[in-house]
Amino acid sequence: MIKLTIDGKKIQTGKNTTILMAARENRIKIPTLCHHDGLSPLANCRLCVVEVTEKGRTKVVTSCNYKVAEGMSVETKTENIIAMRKMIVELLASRSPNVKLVRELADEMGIKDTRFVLENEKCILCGLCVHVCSEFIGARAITFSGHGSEKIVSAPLGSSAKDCLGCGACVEVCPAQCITMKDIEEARTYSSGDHEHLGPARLIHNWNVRVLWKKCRVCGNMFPPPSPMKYLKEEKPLPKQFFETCEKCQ
Amino acid sequence: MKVKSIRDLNKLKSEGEKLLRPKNIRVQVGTTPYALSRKARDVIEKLKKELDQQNIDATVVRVGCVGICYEEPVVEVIIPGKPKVTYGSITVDKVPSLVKAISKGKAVKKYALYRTDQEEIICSGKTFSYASRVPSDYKKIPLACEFKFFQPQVRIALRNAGIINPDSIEEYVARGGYSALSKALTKMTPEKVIDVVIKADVRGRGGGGFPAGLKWKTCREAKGKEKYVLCNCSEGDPGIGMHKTLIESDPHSILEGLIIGGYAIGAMEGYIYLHYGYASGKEKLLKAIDQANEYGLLGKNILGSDFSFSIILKEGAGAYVCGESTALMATLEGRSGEPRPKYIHTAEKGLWDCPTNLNNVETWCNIPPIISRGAGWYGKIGTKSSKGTKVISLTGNVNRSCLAEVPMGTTMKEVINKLGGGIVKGTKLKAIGVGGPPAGLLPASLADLPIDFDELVKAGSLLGSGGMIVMNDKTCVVDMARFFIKFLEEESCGRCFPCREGIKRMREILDGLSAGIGKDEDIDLLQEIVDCLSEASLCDLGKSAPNVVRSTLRYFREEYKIHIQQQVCPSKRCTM
Amino acid sequence: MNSKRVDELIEKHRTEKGPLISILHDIQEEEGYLPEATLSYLGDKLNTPLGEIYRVASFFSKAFTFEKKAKHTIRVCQGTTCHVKCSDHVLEEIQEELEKIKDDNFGEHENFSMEKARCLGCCTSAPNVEIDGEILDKESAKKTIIKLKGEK
Ligand SMILES: Cc1cc2nc3c(=O)[nH]c(=O)nc-3n(C[C@H](O)[C@H](O)[C@H](O)COP(=O)(O)O)c2cc1C
Ligand code: SF4
Ligand code: SF4
Ligand code: FES
Repeated sequence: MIKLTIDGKKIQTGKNTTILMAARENRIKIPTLCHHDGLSPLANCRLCVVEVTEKGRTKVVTSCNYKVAEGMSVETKTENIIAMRKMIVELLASRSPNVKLVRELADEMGIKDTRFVLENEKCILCGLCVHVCSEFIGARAITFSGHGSEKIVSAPLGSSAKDCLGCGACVEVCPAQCITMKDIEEARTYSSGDHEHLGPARLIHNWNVRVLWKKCRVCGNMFPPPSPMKYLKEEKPLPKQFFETCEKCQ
Repeated sequence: MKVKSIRDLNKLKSEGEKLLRPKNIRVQVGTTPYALSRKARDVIEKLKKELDQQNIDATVVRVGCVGICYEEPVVEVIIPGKPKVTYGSITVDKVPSLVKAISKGKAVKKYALYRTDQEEIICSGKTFSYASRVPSDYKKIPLACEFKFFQPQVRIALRNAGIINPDSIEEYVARGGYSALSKALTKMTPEKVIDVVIKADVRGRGGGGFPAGLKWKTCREAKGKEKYVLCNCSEGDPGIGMHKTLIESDPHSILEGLIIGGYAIGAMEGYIYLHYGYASGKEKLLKAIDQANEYGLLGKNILGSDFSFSIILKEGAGAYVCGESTALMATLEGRSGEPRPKYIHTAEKGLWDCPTNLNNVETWCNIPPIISRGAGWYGKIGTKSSKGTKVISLTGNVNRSCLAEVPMGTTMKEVINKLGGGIVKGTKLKAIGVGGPPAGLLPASLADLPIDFDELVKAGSLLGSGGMIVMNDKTCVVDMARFFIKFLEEESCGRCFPCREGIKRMREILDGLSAGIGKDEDIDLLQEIVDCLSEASLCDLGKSAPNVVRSTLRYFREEYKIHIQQQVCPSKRCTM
Repeated sequence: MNSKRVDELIEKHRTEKGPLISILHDIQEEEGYLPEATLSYLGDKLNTPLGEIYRVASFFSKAFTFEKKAKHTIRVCQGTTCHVKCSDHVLEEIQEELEKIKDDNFGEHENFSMEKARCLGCCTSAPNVEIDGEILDKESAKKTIIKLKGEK
């Protein structure tokens, strides 16, 4: 066990715990946007910053990926930390004023107006969708494109994400709720004058994909791509042939 | 031929000496990109033709760069038994009279910049004498040490620049090259090598000034079978040509440093990360690597020892952020150049998750002489907290752009006046940018500050890469801040929120100021963004990005205010 | 690019660890851009999802393009030293010059692509323009553009 203090409170926690986890175990709230318990930390949003004092030196770190250490002292709500978080949220609220979560955060922090030119981006670029698709699902179907202030998430080459399995994990993890997905009963092609009927399918609009339902390897029924979220939440790896078997037969 | 012992190395050395100081005449021409743009190639052709026609037994050699950019093309003539003479601004039509003088064993005073009677070989501390007696017509030409450009200089990293043919390993060896490697491999344990580097207190020349020895030690002690040493030739800073000179003038000094580092740290492989689109540097480095392999200075059992090491050159793909250590490693791995959180040091988990040590090119170039001559010798140069020298590339509104190496502690004013020949006539010094976009601007009043890691940090700047850009009173600091911020906006990786969004907003505000639509609140808002970014960003790009705004707000706040309140640009640079 | 050539390029970099960027450089150099089909084939061969390749290629937008580049490349340096020497005005003037071609001729301006360069490594002669690899000052750059325009 490791002993440390967070906001003056003496705490014990296991080795390999992050400050964020230790704080949550002790009901100390630290805001996050790009963190997901089942995934490795991204540390993109920087909202979870805290001040850490170790061996007499104080520095600002992100709590989602900084590990606890013996004798460490953590402050989560100093004036400096609050000011940084407020600035980050103000910046976000100007980029994505219509994202619910961002609005809630802004309200919580007492930010009424932002002082920057308003934009209306639906995506806050937290990176969770790309991360879950690559780290947990292993499909790496979607990706970041570009760099700097022009970065976006998209399907490769902005066309259709051909490696997408249609599992919808990205939809579920997106804190901005900006990825839309829909199951349709009848997918059709219109290419050669005649339409061809393809059967039921799943659409994920953001990645321009249409994933046809599959026949279950066990029962033979058509089924939509099953949701991997249960495994993600329990932090267990996906079973083999998970996407070949319908939910009933799993 | 494989060099397997000190004896073999000495053989190579005497071959090199024959090339450097042949029995016939040696004419050397600088061929950096700038020299080439001033038609150095034509000068070489003409020289060859004229020498041929006059039946003069001479060899024309392409060398790197002495650093006197404003005098390119530079031609040096070495006539056996006479002092070496350096001529500046040699054009094709000056060649015939030059060759005529050569044929008579004379010097042309009116084209001559300076003469060299003897020079110190940095790696050995010995002096080589060109001429025991100076003929009277040569006496009228000033000595190199009297030439203003060389007065403040001490050339360690640039020890061979402009003197040797960069394509010749023999010439490098003749100037004491690879003797440090042989000393390290035969007489020193890796720990001893690290000990010397720690004692010499070499601080990283890539920006941060982190003690190289400590970094090496951590990496040596880190667990892992495979380890890597890397050389950062990223040069993402817009507007400096420094690494280029090191690479194109003396590629073997980089290799030797890297091999010694590999030995000390326990690495089998070294990578040179070269920034993209730099064909001439790539060619020089590849050639040097090939030669070192051929002579057994790279590869298996170097110099007959148990130590084996190889060097691989990899090109980046053009993004400033890739100079950052973790982004550089990602690029080397063939991934997109995004930095990652560094709470686990790269010395423990770096390239392919193996212990990795990254240093800047200039840092590596400094290693061989330190190993050869010891920490004591190195410690005498520079200041208390910043030992040694710094290569400075001086550009902007100075009379003479140049590249030089000065001892730490030299003041910026000295650099501007002695090396740069002062500020362009009729204008006044206003600001100095020392280390590229992250270093911010310093006002003219601080020109007396010494070039020293800690002193510059105290003033709110950074030594950074050493690309010194001098600005006169026609420069607008708001415009400069906007320029740097815009650069960083386009060059950041875009991964973390504060940097991506914050820099963009700073740029918007600065755009407004320079368009004459700034508001009083803007200054405070800028300050707030600056405070957030410098601590909350993920990597040092975001953390240092606000420096230019912070420093200009600190030293030139009035100018910001004039832009806002009077809606004019005092330097008439912003178009309102 | 045909698949045989892609195979050869993969073979060329076989001993290299993490060869993706090097292979992309080769494709860009030979084709002038990165064709989608080539990238897909490359992804299959390297066992790398197209998403990953695209992430790398789009991140390095200065080195890689997804469309063919024009015949002549004009790079106007916007490095710090050039900026201090008013390179932004040079950029405008060159742009104007290209606009003129656009007005005069059908489609000829498509032979030129203009980029901003970070530093052409030639700060001593700032402000600099580079046309097809040759470093020039503003006036010679304009002359060169007019000359190239006339060439077929
Ligand atoms: C955004 C950014 C850009 C950088 N660019 C360079 C560069 O172009 N060249 C360089 O040597 N170091 C650069 N650095 C510093 C390196 O990350 C690293 O600290 C350095 O190469 C270490 O070598 P040193 O200890 O010998 O200085 C950069 C750092 C950052 C954060
Ligand atoms: S789409 Fe959603 S999950 Fe993906 S980066 Fe944007 S906000 Fe994050
Ligand atoms: S600070 Fe900027 S460059 Fe560094 S990781 Fe964040 S976005 Fe990328
Ligand atoms: S939750 Fe830590 S940076 Fe986003």
